[in-house]
Amino acid sequence: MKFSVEKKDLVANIQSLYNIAPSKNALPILTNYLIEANPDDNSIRFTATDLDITVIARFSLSVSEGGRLAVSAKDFTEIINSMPEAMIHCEKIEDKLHISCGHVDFDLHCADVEQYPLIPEANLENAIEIDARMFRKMVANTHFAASIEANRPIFTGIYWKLSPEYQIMAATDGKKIADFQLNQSHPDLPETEKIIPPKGLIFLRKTVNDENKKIQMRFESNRVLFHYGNFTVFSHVLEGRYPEYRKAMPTENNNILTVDKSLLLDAIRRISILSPDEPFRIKMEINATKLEISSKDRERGEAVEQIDKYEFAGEPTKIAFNYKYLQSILNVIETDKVLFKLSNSQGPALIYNMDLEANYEVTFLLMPLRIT
Amino acid sequence: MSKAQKVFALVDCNSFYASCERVFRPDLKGKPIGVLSNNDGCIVALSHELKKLGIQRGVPAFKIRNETVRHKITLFSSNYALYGDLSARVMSILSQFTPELEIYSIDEAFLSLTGFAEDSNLLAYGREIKETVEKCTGVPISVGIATTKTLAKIANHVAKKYRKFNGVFNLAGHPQMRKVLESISVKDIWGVGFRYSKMLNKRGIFNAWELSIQPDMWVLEKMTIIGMRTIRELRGEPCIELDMIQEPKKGIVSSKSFSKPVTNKQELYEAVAQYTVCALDKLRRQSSVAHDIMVFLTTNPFKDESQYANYISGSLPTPSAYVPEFITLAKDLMNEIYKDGYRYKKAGVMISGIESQYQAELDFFQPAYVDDYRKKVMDTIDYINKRLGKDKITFAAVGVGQEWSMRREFLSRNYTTSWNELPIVKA
Repeated sequence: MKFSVEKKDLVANIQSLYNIAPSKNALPILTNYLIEANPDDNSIRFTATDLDITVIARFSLSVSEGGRLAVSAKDFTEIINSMPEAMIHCEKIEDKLHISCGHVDFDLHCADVEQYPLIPEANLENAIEIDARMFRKMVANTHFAASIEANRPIFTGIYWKLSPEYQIMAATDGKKIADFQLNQSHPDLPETEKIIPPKGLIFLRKTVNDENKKIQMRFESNRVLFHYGNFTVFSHVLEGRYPEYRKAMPTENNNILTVDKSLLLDAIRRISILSPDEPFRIKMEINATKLEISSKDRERGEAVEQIDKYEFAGEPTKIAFNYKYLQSILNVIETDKVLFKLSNSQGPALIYNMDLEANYEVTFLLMPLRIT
Repeated sequence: MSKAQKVFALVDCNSFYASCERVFRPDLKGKPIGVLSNNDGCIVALSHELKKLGIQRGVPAFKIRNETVRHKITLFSSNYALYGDLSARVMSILSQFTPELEIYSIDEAFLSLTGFAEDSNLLAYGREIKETVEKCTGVPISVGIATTKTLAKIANHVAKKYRKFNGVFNLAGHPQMRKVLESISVKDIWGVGFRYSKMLNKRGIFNAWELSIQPDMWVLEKMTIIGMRTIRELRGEPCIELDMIQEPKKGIVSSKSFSKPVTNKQELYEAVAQYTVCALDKLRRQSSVAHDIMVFLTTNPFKDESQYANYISGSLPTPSAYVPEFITLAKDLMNEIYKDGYRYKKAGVMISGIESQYQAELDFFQPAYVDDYRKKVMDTIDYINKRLGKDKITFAAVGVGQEWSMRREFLSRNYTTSWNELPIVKA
């Protein structure tokens, strides 16, 4: 194998790929990239997989000699990132990959490529095309709410309901819910529901750019295939029934608060300095004359900040939140102002973009902490 | 001593476990008593009379079989239900003498006496504490009074060591402070460990007085800021405050060696279930809930046979103190690490991810333990067991025979915690 490529072109194609290859695994071969060079069409394929998610980056470059090999994803990525901005030459010499750029030379040991798992061929027949930028928005608004705990496996996935009339993407960990409904008809979409691990979707979200407007997508029996630009992503789907999370959404939260998002985020950032480590509690006291954010740590002290610019209608309310969860929601609020619909100190809070004019609706639900 | 000067008392129960046994066995007054460790292995607590026979803490019970007969030594299996209850009674009485009480251990407590009594009355106040505790509980105590917690420890040591003080010694403003400190070896100073005492001895520092006059820079360099705090306390400057809030435990371990090797998976299940019940009992007593449980198994490393040890952790979706949930999880976990063909000597569980039941995060899909029927069930079981005696109601998963359970051949009765085991008085 022998190929040459400009550093910037190589980095653009493999920079997100590194996160797919596991750093440690019971199968050490998975910590490698599978690199396959084809001189016939001057193309190269980089594959990374953790067996649940497989990502293939295929792009054109100058291939003088074909072949396939496996090298450490971590080392290869670090080496490429460290190289000068110039042409990089790679050549397999015996059982090493020689990487050179200007006066810099590396010889990287190759792993046994025969141990690399068989990668399925991407079959894009009957693939559906979806809007890439809207897909990116859907994932960005929901993925953070998925659970990272393995004790409720279904909660680790992102729920995606498709239909010709609308789409819903949602995630929850039991403490917060993010729900994105796209009200846009798409006759090609099947009527189906899938629960997909976030990793592959987050990869695609990072990859979407202004050049390519469409993602091709195909559902197979226990996996979903995406194709976007130079990338192909296979992701398994989670088996099981997603909870009926919309039933948790209250209909009578009549205490309405609107506040500038950046003012609130700044206040939370300051007040959280003295928030106890677990469960990262901050308290909000809201009435017609006061919006106060406070925290208290028995050993370290207490902090209070009042926000002057806000609007509130309803009963005076005191409510406590895990500030990290609240920040994660505020960080994806698109509008300058954020709308809270609250009930009492133990009822979940509905959080929305304020006066968002779009063909989609985003609803966040955040469970409060008990007031102590 | 000025009125603003802080005053602390350290109350220490004398030979606590042995004294507890003696409370309900007055016939053993003045006789040697020993309390054994789990599985009746070693002597862990000795009465004064037993110490005088030259028996040392930690000696295996079988090694003193002859002495036991010859000197009519009475041995007891450890009865933590009895000791815990008597300890609570002692602490409750102590709390009547001060609003500021730090329960330091099962048999020790610091009391703040600041502003409580005039200098001249401190000794009398100490004697009153001693008389009240002994009269109400039957447990003998020693009281050490001083201006810092470290000096109070020393005062208590003196009170216990010299009979002429009748168990109460006041070191606050003592005219012979230097002489007292010179009588205390550095290894007996609170906060000076074995390693430091060896280092200090090498440098010619043997007693508390010699340590107290060392230059600050030298102490900081050799013993860090923690050592400096101890030295300042020896000089009479209070640096260690009373810690009155008992922090809830962050991890609860329940584990015991089996009385005989266990080779049967069902028996191992029972043991793990029993230890889970015990750990969660402690968890509920501190009004906490937990997310995680770790299960561990081990063979006996001291036996020349096939060895295996392993552990595994798992967690619940929402924190709980409900025994059935944890037993189910613990059994599933044990199944994953259990291997046939080994002679298991010990198993245990560790509960972690602990938080106050009132501060646990709420969940959309499952009610919080504190608001749920699960708490009502556990409260009811706890109430019945408190009224009628330990384990009157328990879970079938723990088995009925429990042949694996700890050996306790010399167990005294639960005189204070079980209606059926109350002392019987014949008139």
